[in-house]
Amino acid sequence: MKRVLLVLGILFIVGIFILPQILMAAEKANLTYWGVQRDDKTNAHRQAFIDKFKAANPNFDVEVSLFPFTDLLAKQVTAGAAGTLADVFEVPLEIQQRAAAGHIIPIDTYVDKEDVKDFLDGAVKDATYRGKLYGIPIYNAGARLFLINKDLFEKAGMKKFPETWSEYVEAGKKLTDSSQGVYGGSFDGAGQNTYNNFFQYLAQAGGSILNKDRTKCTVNSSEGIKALQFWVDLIHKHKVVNPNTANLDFNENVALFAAGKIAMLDGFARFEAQIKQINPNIKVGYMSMIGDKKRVAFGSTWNYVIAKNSKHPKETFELIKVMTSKERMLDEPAFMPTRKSLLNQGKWKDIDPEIKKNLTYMAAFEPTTVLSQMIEILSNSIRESLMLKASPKEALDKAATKIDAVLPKK
Amino acid sequence: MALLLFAFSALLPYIWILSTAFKNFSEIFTIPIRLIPRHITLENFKAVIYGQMDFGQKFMNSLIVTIATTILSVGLSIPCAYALTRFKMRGKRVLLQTILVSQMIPLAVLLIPLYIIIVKLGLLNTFTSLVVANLTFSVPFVVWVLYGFFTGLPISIEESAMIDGCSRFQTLVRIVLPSAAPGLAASSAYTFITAWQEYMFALTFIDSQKKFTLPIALTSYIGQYGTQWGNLMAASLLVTLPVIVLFFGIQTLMVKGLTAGAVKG
Amino acid sequence: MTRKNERIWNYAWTAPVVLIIVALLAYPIVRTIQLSFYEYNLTEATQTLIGLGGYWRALSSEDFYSFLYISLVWTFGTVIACLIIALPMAAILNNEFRFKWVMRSILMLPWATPWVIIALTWKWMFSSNFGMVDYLLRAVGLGVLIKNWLGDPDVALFSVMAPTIWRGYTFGAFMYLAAMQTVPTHLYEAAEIDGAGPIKKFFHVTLPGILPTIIVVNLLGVMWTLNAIQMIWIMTQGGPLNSTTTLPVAVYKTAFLFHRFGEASVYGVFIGLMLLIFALLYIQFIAKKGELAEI
Repeated sequence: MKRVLLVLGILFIVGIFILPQILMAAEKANLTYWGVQRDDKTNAHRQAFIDKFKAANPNFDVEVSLFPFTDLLAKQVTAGAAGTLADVFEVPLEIQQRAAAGHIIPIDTYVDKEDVKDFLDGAVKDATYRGKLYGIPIYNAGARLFLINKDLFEKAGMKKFPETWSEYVEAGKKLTDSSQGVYGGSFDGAGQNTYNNFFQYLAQAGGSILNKDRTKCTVNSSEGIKALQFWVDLIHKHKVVNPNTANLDFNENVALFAAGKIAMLDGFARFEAQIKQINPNIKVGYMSMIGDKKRVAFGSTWNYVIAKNSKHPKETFELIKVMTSKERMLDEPAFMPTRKSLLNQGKWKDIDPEIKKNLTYMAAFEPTTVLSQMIEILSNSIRESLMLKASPKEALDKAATKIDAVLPKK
Repeated sequence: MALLLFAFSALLPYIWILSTAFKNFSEIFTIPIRLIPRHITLENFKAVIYGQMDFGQKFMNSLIVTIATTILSVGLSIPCAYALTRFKMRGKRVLLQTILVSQMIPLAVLLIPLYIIIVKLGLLNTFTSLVVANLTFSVPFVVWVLYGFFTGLPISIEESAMIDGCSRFQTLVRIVLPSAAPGLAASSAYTFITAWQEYMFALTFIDSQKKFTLPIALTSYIGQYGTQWGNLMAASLLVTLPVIVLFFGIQTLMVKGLTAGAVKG
Repeated sequence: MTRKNERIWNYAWTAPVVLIIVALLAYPIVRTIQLSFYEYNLTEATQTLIGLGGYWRALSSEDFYSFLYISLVWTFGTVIACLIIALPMAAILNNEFRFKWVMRSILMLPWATPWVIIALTWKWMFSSNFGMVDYLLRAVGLGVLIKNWLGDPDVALFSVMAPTIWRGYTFGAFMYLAAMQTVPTHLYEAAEIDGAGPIKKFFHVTLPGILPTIIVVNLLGVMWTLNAIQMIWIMTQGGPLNSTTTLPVAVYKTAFLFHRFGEASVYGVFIGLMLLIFALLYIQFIAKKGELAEI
């Protein structure tokens, strides 16, 4: 009896292990594609072009896996460490880290040099590491700008858009009605976008996060202190943004705007879809990014890259060519083209002129391989200052010291 | 009285979850908050079940992994815990402590080496990898908990059974297990729930979308530019439902007095 | 069976468990310890041996002590709070009353719901503009208690502990309730004959009866609570201003965001050591008293 049970037990355990394998008999997928889960329309559009590639290359199958945005990047790290990355995957500014770690291959040998010139200069620069090109830009969310509540603007009798910092403060004061909880402006004091939001204002004041060589952090220059002080003043002196701004991330700001509590929302044009879903009655307009010494807007794109462990780099690049083709970008539901030639064609011709004007203010972001740490350090310092726990100078000095410590030595 | 307070505190977030699941998007973010939607809608549920996410498939995937994990986890732990309780063995202490120590290092640093092992074993992108990884964290718990339960049982019943001619194994199955039924119920429930919600391993070890489990499907509603709250809440209700069903079943085992009369009889 | 065969047979009962744990976790644990002696940043693709340098760096950084302190508050605060709430709750649910099954099932809900949902739901419940917590406080006239739940560094840790405790005590109550079912009823009868009321019964019959379970649940509870980063990560990502960054959260950030695996391993080893010392002390002083004499 005991023996029978033992044998049954072993069979059972073995069965548990083997059965799932049999049930899900692996289909031979020749190319694997990892992308970010987006809305239904975007997903369908993407799939259509993957199918196009499959039709043109009948001896290759493409297995697509869409991951939650929050963890696609973590997965790329683990898979990179083990050499099991998909042949092609989507990666944003972290492309620098993938390149430095040796997880992706340079694509200079595959690209058509003339074609590359068609892509946004800043985006191509952001995909270049140590002189070699590692990815093709895709998914342009547009540059950061202001979404405005047309009704609030009308009510306040605003005739002209503010263009400088002082005009912004003036406009903010006109649009603010704190008794109703309505505030003129906004910015992201918390969350993943604080860094790129601040980057704009820093650049607008004429400063930069790193020096030209990228060996030293210059965020605590007089321009940097001026920019941070401007933010602090917006909350505490001029009171034209929500008093809780130090804790608001873009999700909350979007929700506040949709509820009619913000007149000028510093964000991406992409937010309009969600805003309209929350409040279909709101009238959304656009306003270009403001400036101090100059007008600067932050924009970034994702990239298509080829994994080092790919067994079919050539075919993978063919797939990338189809996925970054003009046909796809012309009809892309929510993202703008990363090709300069398309910015005035098709449906992109008719987008709000402010959005197009704003694109001209887009500056290269120049991410480094230690971007995540810089984001962490600087965001914390900014918040400290916004919460009045440190003066802008103190906070930024501390940030600069910490960032210097983690910058890669050339 | 106190009970109502407990119940209310346990249910508090569910009020929000329930109300959001049945709202259409425009009602979710209102100032001030509206708990009861103006239009109760099932559109979120429809979107989840029939949408691109292929919810049904993910549900089956989760079910397979979770049931396999639970059966194996409990099945392997019972003999181990019993042996540790009753047998005279050398190295018992070491074993118990080893099992404990295995839980001490955070998963974040263990993940990549573990992933490399899984890849080398050829288990990448298989359900087996998930079952096996889940076992490493549920088995120690079940062994320890059952060890606690078995220790509390009077040894006299087992001794008399063995005098009557039962082998160790038969004693275990016929006498010990029924007495420890609540403990079994509790550990099975724990294993099931933990495996049902397991996210890190599923994300790391599974590459094919058609093999994703439910937790990944849930997180997919959180996008880069905004979250689909209605769908997310509706989906989470659907994800929680099987567990509630499980609990109703488990309750039959959580009955008092199974050891009563055993000593006298 | 011969003596030797019997011994092998006995070991066979425990073999599968040992096999799984050792086969899967031995290499990762050893590798983690090994990596802690190196500087391994993914972005530099090289590993340089720095010996105890990593440990020294951790011990001399003020951040480390902050993480340590937060870890202690987080872990022990949560576990003790759970214990205090779960025991009476289980005792109450142990009685016979109408709707017992319904009540017990409600008990399961927090624990049965996926982490992600709980963390997200509570995050929005704490929102200043859209959250239910502030709404309810104002509704009952306690508006003065409103704080910036997730934005104020002094409060954030407790705000994140709240849902964790909420989830933890229901789990604890469930386990204790299960244990209570195995306490022989004749012991209660004997106590009643001796004239004991409900409180005396609880302390003299129930508590000793479920002591092994309490000991085990809390020992493992400490380890899991410390290593549980999902709640914190989803609600605050360790912020604001690192006020909710426990050591394991720091490990995750350092490894997966900053790609500094050597440094993360150092933290990992520290966590392992801390838990080891805790477990040894715990077993020495508490477990031995509770009949788990084997350990």
